[in-house]
Amino acid sequence: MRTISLQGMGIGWRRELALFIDRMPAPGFVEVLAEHLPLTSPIPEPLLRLRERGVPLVLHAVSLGLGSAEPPSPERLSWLARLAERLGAACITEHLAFVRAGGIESGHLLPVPRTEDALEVLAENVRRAQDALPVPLALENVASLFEWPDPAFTEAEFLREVLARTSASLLLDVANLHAHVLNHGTDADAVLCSVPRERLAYVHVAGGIQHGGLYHDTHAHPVPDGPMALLEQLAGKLGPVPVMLERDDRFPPEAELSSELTAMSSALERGAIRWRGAAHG
Amino acid sequence: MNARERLAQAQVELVRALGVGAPVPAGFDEARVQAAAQSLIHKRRRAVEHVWPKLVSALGPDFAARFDPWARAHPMSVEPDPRMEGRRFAETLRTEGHLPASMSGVLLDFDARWRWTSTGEAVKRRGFALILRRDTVTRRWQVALRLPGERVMRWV
Repeated sequence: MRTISLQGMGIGWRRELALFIDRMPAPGFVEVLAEHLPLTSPIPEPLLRLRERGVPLVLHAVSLGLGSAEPPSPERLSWLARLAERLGAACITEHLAFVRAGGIESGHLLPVPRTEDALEVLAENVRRAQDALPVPLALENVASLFEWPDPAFTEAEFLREVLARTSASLLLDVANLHAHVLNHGTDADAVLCSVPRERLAYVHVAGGIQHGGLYHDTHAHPVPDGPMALLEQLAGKLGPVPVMLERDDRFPPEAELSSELTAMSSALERGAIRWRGAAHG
Repeated sequence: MNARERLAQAQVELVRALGVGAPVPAGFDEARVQAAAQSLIHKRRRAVEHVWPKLVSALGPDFAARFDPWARAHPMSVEPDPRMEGRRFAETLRTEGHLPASMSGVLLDFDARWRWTSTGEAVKRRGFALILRRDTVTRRWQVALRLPGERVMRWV
């Protein structure tokens, strides 16, 4: 099992944020969307500069469909493997989701049923992906507006099973967890308790909005208190963890981004203080 | 049936409900699945709006009203590419006679830069390319020439 050793405060790289990220004094790591990188033309300059500064780069993919009934296609896997090599990526991250079925592309990360069937298929898909990828793989929990009927596992049990049946790491998205608390009444504490520190690659924080009685994970709105509180709670259990801000749309002024990063760092610190207290008390 | 086959069947039913308005499979909260379907359409529309600003301004308030039903009737069969989504949408508008006249040249320019593969993906053209077509409304010939170095000359 290969552990992923990222540290500090990261951010999701987008062209619109390139200047802001260039000016960050010491980003812990930067996550790059695989589907945004050109296939053949060179890696964008700002990313190469980050690499020269020694900032670890993480390759984040959305189109593999590891939770899909169809195994991940060899073409997609080799494309991802090549990108990871060209980028010098520290790891690759994908979602516990499926994106296509029966010839239709959903264009979105759809939840997998929390059943024995889905776990069996997922574990096999993950194994195939790991065999084809040159760097460690971490899996991310997704946000959804609906649930599959008759789940055999709770979300916490499902995550524990995924970790038990694969050697992949976990990318825990506390914003997605927050969405599930609001939309489905998920037990967040049980989910946070099911994450062993050595299997946690890093944490995602993002904003969303309440609309029509549902929480939508938009990555286009300010981060609400919920995900920050979950981040603090997680750090209270595990100590300081690598964490990053995801913003995909409606990019705010730099001051707003900076203050979100500061708020994340304060939440981490508050949690870490409790963790240290518990460890020594 | 094995686990993969059972999962495949369940996923196809759900994706059809989300993508093309097929009946919501039994056991799901119908309103929630509809909300998710709506948000998928919004996502597609926002992406197309982003890369086709001229089509948005040419259609004005009609854009969303025309795009949303079109998107439901034309599910994505290849990986999401808003460039091609917008082009396919414009093509439907053209054949139905709803394409604003100002878009004619924009499409010609696009076609001189991109070609569609048989699977519906967009590939950047290289070198020389000549596009020749007759406008359905004005009946006039339109010509676009792509030169090496990505320059396009148009006679509309």
